[in-house]
Amino acid sequence: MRGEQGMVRILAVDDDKNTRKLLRAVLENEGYQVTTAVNGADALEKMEQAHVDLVVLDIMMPGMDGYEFTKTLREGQNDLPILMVSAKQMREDRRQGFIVGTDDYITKPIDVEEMLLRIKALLRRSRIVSEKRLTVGDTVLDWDSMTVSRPGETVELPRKEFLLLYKLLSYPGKIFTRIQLMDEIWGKDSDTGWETVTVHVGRLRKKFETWQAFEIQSVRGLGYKAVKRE
Amino acid sequence: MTFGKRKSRQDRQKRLALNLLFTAVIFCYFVLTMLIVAAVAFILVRQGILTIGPARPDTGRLLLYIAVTSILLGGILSWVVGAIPLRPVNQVISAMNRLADGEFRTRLEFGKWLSRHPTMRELKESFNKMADELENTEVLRSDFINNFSHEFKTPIVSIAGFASLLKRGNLTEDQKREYVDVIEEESLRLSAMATNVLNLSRVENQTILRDVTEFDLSEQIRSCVLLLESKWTKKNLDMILDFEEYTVKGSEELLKEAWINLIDNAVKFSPEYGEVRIGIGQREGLLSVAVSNAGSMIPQDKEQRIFQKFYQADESHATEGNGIGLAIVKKVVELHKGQILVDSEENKTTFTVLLPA
Repeated sequence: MRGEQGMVRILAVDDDKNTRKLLRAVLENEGYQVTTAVNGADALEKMEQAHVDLVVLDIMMPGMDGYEFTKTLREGQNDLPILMVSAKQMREDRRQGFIVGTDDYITKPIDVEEMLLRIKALLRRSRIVSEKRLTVGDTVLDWDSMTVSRPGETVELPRKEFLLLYKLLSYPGKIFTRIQLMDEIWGKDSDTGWETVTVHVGRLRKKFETWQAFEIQSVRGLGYKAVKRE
Repeated sequence: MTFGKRKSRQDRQKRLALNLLFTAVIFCYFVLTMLIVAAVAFILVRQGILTIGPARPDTGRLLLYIAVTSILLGGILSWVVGAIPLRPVNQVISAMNRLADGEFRTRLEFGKWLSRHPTMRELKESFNKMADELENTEVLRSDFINNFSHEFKTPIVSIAGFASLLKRGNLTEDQKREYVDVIEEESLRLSAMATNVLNLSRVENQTILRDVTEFDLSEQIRSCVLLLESKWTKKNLDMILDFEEYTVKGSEELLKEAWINLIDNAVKFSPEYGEVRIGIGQREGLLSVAVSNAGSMIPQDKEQRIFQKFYQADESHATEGNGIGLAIVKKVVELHKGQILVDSEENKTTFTVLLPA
């Protein structure tokens, strides 16, 4: 894993010298290549000099701030994963971050472990989205063909079932409520009740009963999660 | 309509009493003055200095005498007698000044005669009531400041202290690791507290609810439980969510904050492998949300105090957190015109929030 990360370059943007020092130390320790910048404008310049896989971005900076930087990137059709890191904790600040297009948002002081986990998740998702493939053990989910395959067998799924499985397996171990799943896959304005989710999960379980790589578990009172089986 | 009229009649009666007192005093005054003047005139006539004879009295002179005497006498009397009604006014003024200077134990007392009068009694009672409130507020404020300083300074003492120990060197690897752990732990605690205090101030300064919407309460509670997933999985807790689908009308953001605090507490104070149970019900037109956990009991006498800012039942503050969570919950519930109840037994503590449906 370390070697793989060695090819990943992260851009850390913060106007505070010690914060930059901390970010560089933490990220390099994890095996990432690190470039730093002091504000939004500087970050854009650094991005022209080297390819960057992810940005850890402070919000309050002189010159171009975090929001502006994100907006500039998104308006230029750049889907680079962005993790906003800010002392601003108010709901409106988080919202604003997501509105301009950040992928994730954590507050200062930085919980190092959490930041690293989120960076990993963002990189993984970005790879999945760009590659449109998801690999779990010996099983591969392919978005374009809506198929699930393992050595010797390929199953094509109806759209909703595939999306449901893909979502659950994109976040292995994470619990989702039926309503969350319904909102995401059927849409918030859909008329279907969440019993439909139950039915679809039932079908998926039946189809993949014998597949060793994963399992969909119910969590009583809460919802479902997909777990990888070693 | 009737209530307003009744109130103003009471008011009018009180004002009347004061006016009567005033008028009575002035009346006595005039009578006194008049009697003295009459007495002096009488003596003067007797002495022969003034004569009331058949001869036409010198009206001008007489009037002049009377006028001057009255004015002089009135002036002297005012000075002497005036002190009486003015004394209570002066008492009130100096008592107010002492309160303003911070002597919150100041109370007003009038002499026996004056206290008999209903208006004076009322003045004394109102003033003392105000002084009581000020004294209470002051106690709360200094308690708060003391607790707050303590909560803030304690972690800083550790951080600065251990950092300087590390600088000095001469430590074993284990010691170094231990000290660094403490620094990290205390820093996190400090930052959590800063966040909490900010949240609390934000909630405390609100008097009315804004952004009231109708939303799915059951789903909100499920999301809150999921938000805390890492905490309860770490302790291997059994989270039992036993409820149907309910909607509620209120501030989604504030209620979310309240549930998170209650559930976080339940998780925090539950023993490993313990059970946390969350239920929603409806009774007598009220929506009730009950969060219970197994764990040590909260002593009866502390039951109300746990809602105070910075109060923690464990006085040594050994448990994680800063005692602000419940203060936030209480304020949020109050803003929604609801109630929060706590029931703590040997092995189970339950917090119940009642909200108007």
